[in-house]
Amino acid sequence: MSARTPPDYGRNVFINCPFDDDYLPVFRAITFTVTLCGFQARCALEVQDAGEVRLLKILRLVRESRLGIHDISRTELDRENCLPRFNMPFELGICVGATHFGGRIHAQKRTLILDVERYRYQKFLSDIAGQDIKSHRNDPRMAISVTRDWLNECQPFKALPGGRDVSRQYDRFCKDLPAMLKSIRLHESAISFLDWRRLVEQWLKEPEA
Amino acid sequence: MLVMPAKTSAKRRLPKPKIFHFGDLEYKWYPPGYRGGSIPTSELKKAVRAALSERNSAPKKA
Repeated sequence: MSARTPPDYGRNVFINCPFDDDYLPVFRAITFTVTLCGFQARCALEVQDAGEVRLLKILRLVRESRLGIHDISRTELDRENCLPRFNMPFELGICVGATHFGGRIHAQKRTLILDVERYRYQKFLSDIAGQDIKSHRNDPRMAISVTRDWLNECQPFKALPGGRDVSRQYDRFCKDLPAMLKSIRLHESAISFLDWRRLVEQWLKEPEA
Repeated sequence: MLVMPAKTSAKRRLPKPKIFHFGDLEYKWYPPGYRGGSIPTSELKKAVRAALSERNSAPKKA
């Protein structure tokens, strides 16, 4: 890895999570929290570029992000081929490797590992035993709370709003969302990750929000 | 007279990625400030303001 600090390295939060519809409410709540707390959410969905090899995209995101949120909750077997998905634990492994072997800059990386239950991972990923895993129970409010608390620990420079306050703001955002989508003629199911992040950023910029 | 395209078009302002090659693999580096996304910022701004004014003009519950 390069010795130069990538731009926005300290602000970037790499979100490594499932991209299915069941997980979407938690994913959107995490993205909202990261943005509200003054960080920049990054994930593999941000560049829809078929020309870029997926693994290189992941490596680039890991390299450019000091913080990483890794959700290893998706352990169910795939409905079609009855196999589990290994992408999330694999990408977590890349981050852990970068932290240990990536030199001074990447040694600053901080990681939040999420699962649906706190100690369930010991049955399928025992190599990370001893790490502090947080649970969200598939509840966006819990995801907001653990993400906010972790971000607060990761930066000593400013006090972040409390978890309840972030949840309240998220509720307000969700209430405003249908009118925003109507205005840009977009169905909720068609919002991309980037558009979601930019909608949140724009909404937060408004003093009345 | 030669007519030049407007320099302020959204397409022109979007920075392009730098492309590197390692053997057969292509590595793209996106410059800082790369935004991407499909909706122009001006439309997003309008949408947010429309939603806020709708909320503020709605009758408040007693």
